[in-house]
Amino acid sequence: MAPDIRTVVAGFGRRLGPELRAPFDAILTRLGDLDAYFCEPHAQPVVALPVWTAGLAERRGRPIPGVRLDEIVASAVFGYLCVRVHDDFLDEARGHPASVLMLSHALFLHHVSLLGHVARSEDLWLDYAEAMLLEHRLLREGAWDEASWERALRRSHPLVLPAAAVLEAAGLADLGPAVEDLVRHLVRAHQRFHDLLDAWKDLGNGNLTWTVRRYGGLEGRSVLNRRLLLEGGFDAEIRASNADLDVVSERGREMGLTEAVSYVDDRRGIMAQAQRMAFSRLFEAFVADPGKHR
Amino acid sequence: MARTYDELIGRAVSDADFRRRLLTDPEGVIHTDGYDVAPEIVAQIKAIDPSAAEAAAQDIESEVGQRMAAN
Repeated sequence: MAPDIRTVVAGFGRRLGPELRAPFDAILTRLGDLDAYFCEPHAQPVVALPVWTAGLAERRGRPIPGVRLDEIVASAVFGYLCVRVHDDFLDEARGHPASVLMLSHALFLHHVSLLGHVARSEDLWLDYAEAMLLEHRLLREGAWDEASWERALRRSHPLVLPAAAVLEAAGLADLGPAVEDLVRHLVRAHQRFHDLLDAWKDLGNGNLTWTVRRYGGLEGRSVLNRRLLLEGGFDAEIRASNADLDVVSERGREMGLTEAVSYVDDRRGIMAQAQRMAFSRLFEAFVADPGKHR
Repeated sequence: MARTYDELIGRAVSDADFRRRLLTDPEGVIHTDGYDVAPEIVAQIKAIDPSAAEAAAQDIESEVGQRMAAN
């Protein structure tokens, strides 16, 4: 059973002095109900992944102590909050630079302290830092290509660390590469889908994502509409996301990580729903049966 | 038995391959796939352009704007 996220976060907040507490409270207010925020159907499995992995360890006869799982899940939450602070500042200039620096420092420190030693931790966080800077530059310049998009995806790879910590605690570190591969494909599918849904908002905000660039957004919103909605771009992106989710399902089945397979099924449902919403609006609003009004 | 307007729109919404074919060649697809719809329908599908697609784009933006989840 995972810890109550609100309780864990509130406990950390009480340790902060007033200067750090103010920006910490501001981000919590913005995110709203944290339990819902981390469990919402559109969310990445930040909290769920270590819990699923602990379930896998238990089914393999290697349960980890509940206290350790609680620490690892809390570590996932603080790692995520640190990334959120970085992201909000880099993408939306949200927060005072000094507050951003010090708050992210405090959040990261707490994440690392709860996570404990995990073999790939330093490499993945170095990749993260490199990928965040790359993405920040390319969102302004729009000079993406497939390779740079793949490199920028590494910003999400620390997502695997709490699961890796569970595997190490369970003596199942040999499953680490398989879980890392699963996360890599999950992140690809997730990023592609959300870059698709966010394409119009990103264009409006001047965030020139790879999706915006590939589908003509640099030539204007009308071209983006045409290429995504009338020439098959939207469907192509959904197909590509589904192909990555196929790999996630396959890895999940191979390892017996059944929760990941269910999660993928839900993700497919969310993508299909978005697809239906977009195209029902397109056709139902502009193609009316004259016979129905006679 | 000829297929109806509702079946045409339902398939256009749910079947990506059909949608692509329909938007590319509405007359041909409606004829070859056996839909019995008024000529106005073909004209309306031909008239779907990027400005018409803007309504769908706005719906997506609005949906995304309401989303609060760990991404």
